[in-house]
Amino acid sequence: HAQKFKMIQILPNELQIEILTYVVTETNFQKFCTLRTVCKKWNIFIPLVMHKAVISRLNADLKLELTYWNDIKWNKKLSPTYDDYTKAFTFILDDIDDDTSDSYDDISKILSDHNISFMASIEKCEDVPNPVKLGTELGDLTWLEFLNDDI
Amino acid sequence: MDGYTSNNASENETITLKSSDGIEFHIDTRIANRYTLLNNWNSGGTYWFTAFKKSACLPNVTGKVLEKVLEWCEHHINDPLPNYDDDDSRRRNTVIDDWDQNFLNRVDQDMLFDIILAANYLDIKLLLDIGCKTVANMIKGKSPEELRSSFNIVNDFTPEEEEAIRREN
Repeated sequence: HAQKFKMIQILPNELQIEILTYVVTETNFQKFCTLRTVCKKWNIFIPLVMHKAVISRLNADLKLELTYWNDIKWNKKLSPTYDDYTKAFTFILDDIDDDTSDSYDDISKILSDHNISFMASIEKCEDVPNPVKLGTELGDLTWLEFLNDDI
Repeated sequence: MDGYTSNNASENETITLKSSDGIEFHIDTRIANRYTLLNNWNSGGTYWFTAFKKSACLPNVTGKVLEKVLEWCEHHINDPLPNYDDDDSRRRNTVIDDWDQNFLNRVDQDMLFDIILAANYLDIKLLLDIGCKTVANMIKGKSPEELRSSFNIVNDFTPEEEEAIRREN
């Protein structure tokens, strides 16, 4: 089977990573992760690019949103911190609005057995007895689903 | 052998670039002045430049590829220079200007990679960006199998390894 085109691997690693950085900006994270199976090199590149993309999105006016059946219960712009060791994003909610506690009550109503592909934690929630872990669709970085899996 | 003379080169000062296969290109110094590496050559900053002859030899770029790169440079000669400090702004999307898209759509995949390599070597950031965006657009929406086939990527996983990664995902 004659080789018709040059392989993308003729490009140096940094350029392949640059190209994948463009891809991740317009691709669902879950779909992007499937590119790890392309070859061993991409299996290394994809998590690197993902990590960079997640951090970049989190630092760019990320809005944390509590949503249930397309009904936005609460939202707030937050700048989380990321701990690479624990792989956890932490959102500090220390100035929660008065009506937010109702939203947290809603969380308990929408618990389900969703698959979690991404975890974040909320700390210092004065109005909430126990911090909660959030599950999300990693591709959109919107916080759609919640579990009562206390930290 | 003469490969190319920039349209306005006769009216302005020119420098000569010589490709790896010996083809000479006479280009407007305004093109060289826009790009760091070419500008360095033009101002005598590197050993490729010969002070008396105003010419530079490019050992990594063939005539065919250099011609395409210079065609692109010529078209963009009057564009405002982008600010590269804000790296993220360049990565916000994969939108490509119509002329650039048409320019890169006319080349085959081999030439596209060669243009990207040349732009990288010559430090022509904007051309490098649109080259990378073009490849990114070719990648978007394709499955791993389709990508291997499109880009001739060898699957170097064992079936067990591939399955293990699938499970992780």
